[in-house]
Amino acid sequence: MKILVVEDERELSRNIVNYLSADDYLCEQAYNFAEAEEKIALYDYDCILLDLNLPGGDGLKILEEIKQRNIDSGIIIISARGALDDKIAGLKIGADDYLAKPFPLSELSIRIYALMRRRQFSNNNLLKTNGLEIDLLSKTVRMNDIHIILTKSEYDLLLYLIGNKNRVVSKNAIAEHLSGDMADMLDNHNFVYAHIKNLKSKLAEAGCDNCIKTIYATGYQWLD
Amino acid sequence: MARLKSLTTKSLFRFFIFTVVILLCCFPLLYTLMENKYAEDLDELIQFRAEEFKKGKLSSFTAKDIELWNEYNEDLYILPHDEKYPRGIVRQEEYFNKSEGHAIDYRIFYADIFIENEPYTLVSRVPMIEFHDLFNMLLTQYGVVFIILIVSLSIVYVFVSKRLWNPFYNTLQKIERFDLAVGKEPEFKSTDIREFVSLNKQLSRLIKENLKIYKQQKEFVENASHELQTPLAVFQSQLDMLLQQPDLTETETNIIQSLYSTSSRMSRLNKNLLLLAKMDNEQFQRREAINFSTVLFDQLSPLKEMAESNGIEVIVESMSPLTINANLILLESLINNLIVNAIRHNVKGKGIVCIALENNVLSISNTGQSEPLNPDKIFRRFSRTSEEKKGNGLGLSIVRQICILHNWEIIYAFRDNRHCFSVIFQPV
Repeated sequence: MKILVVEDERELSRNIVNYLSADDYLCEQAYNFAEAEEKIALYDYDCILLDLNLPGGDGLKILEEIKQRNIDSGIIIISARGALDDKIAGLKIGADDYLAKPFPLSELSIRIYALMRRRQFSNNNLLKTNGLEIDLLSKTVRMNDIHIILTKSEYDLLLYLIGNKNRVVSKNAIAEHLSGDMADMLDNHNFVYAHIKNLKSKLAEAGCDNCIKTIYATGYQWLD
Repeated sequence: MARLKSLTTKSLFRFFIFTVVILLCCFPLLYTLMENKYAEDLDELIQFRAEEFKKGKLSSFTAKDIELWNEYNEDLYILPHDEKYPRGIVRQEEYFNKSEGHAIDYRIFYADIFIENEPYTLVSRVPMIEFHDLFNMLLTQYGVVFIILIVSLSIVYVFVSKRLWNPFYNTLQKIERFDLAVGKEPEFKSTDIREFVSLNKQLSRLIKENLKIYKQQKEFVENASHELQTPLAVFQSQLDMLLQQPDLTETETNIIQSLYSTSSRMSRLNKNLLLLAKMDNEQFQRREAINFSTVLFDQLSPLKEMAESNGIEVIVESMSPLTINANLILLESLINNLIVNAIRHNVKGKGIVCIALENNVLSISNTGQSEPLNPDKIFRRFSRTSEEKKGNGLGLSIVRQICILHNWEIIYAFRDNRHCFSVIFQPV
């Protein structure tokens, strides 16, 4: 799967590419307006990550061009502007998602994952990993035909970990993903710990052991 | 400080004093003038009488007639010749006056005459007007004129001065109403007085300059916050990458965790600054009718779980239906900030947060420190009440700013050992 990262901040762009490379994504980079225009004209991408403040032009213009040319790529805006108006304008023009900087890379990864699933695997709603079967439509989880009953938070947490499989997801990113924007204002240690503990024990009961690795209560990793 | 007087009062008062002084100074001058003119008239009269006598009666006059003449002509009489009388000029001398009963001033003129070839002195005199008579007469006339003058001049002065200063007062009023935060430049009334035109011009320049700086300052905060987002994003992504390193030690992950906390504090601070700047820049003009309880429960559910994991119970005591006209983003922020505050500054492990909505008043109360907070300080930017809670000191400022923008009222109270924040909404 091909992804174009349009981001002028080279280090951020490099980190995004490195983080996503674990997912068999093929990433290309554009650092300014002209490069982005050129690459979009020349190649097809499954997904475009688009920064709005670009040297040489407004990212929204690129978005308009993509839509005019009927290029069928999923588009996620990653912007420092974060302004509601930009968000609305971007989504109106045809962006699929909007992520305000700063964001955890794991959150970006799960958004791409969700977008790709919506666009390409709409017929395949079954996710399999380590013998675990997740039906994304009915939101049910099975292991060896044993139905594992999870709460909404636990289910979201499981998907978040699997969406970032083989990579370490930070505790803060999980708290923000589950509790929203204000999560960083509250002590999230017990909250995340409790959810991970419950999820682990429910998975272990069904025979899915040692799938979640804990990195000293700072990060968690789904091993596939 | 001295009591303040208006420009008109002050100048009128001075004008009045000076006019009175000048008019009073003029009175002796007028008196002297009147007296001189009067004396001049009298002088002509007595000289004329003497001449008439010389031309008419004198030719047939005899020495025997003198005694009889003098008996009946009190003011034109004949004395034996004496060199001591000054002749040819009119003098003023004091004589006894029978009708008045005391001595008064006379204008008097001596002339040499010859009766039967003997020299005599003819005395022609007339009583001068007495000082107090002239003084009283003048005082009456002058007094009437004086009062008319003072009153009419003052009226004219006030009228002229009002007209003259009208552009000034107009400008003053406009400046008094000017509000930098509103940002509307006042339009001054045009005038043909050079000084006021100059004043208005300079004021307009100053106001324009100020507005520009104010706008730049507001935009600066917004731009600075925007610019900070990118390095923060780089910082966070580097941490995310660092966390991917295999075989991290516990010490290393502790450092990473601490950096994560710092990073999220920085981005929270930045988000709050940005929100405040945007409010200052009037970027939340959109209003819509909102069902309050829907928004409250949307915001509450993710926070409730978080609060409970820290041993803090969140209770919704009452929820009466309420529809308000508000900006959704800001309303969410208000609710979030108040609830998060109530959870953060609570007793860990056995705390309570109570939420109630009754009669358009939302009250969020929480257990916490046993001392009431200083209500003057808590809403100020960057004023922190406790050191151990690593807030950014902007949450309540945001809450207050949102209330101001919507014309709501926010009140803090400490009741029954609970800190209570109440927001009084304006229902639709």
